[in-house]
Amino acid sequence: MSENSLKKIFLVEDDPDIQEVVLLTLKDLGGYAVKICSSGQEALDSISDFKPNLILLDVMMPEMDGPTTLKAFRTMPDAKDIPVIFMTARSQTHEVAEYLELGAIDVIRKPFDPVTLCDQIEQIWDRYNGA
Amino acid sequence: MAHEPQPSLQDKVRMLRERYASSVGDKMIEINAAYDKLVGEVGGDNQTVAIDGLMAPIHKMAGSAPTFGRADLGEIAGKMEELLLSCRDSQNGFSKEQETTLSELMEALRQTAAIS
Repeated sequence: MSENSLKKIFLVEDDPDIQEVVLLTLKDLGGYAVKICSSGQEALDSISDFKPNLILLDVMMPEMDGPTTLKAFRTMPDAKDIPVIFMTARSQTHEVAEYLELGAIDVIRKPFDPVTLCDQIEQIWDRYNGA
Repeated sequence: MAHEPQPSLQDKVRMLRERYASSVGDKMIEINAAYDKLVGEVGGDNQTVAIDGLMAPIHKMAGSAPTFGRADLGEIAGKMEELLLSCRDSQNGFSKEQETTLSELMEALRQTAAIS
């Protein structure tokens, strides 16, 4: 298995409905280990323990939004190099450009189809790794 | 020993959709309360806080409802979110026209949520 295998995914999302459906599809369909955090602060506190390969990050969250959380990850030795995919309903062209400028590798638009979410993530992962 | 067949991913997603559908009433209670609070604060000192209070559940509905098969709710919630963001960011509060639009969207959301 290559060093770039996708095994552990860290989901930062405040909506319990979305948490549940993403967890279902990533575990059941993708077989990934998944850790869920409901806020940016919780994510900052626990990412070092989980050591994910990939972060799925909601954009709009109360208190600490996705972009602020991403900037904070980039200052942490354990998290600064972990690729981030934003998940958002706000995905107009200029908004996506902003997220990419911040360092996200891609954006998954809400709503998403739970059945194809894994494929979407794996395609982004493969592209990121030059596969 | 006989094993029960495991539900497929599609079955599980369908169950989540059914559960979401049954939770729409509770979500509307939260949205109605936040909307009533905002109506009471229009033009007042706490208007921005009240806008954020409504925007939180509306944003969730806009993002999650279509994923669970309620694109109709997501579309209306999305329009409400855009309007609320624009009013909050303008710092000028609501114009009469925006108040009317918000009220119409809220009524549309109530009616659409009532359709199961």
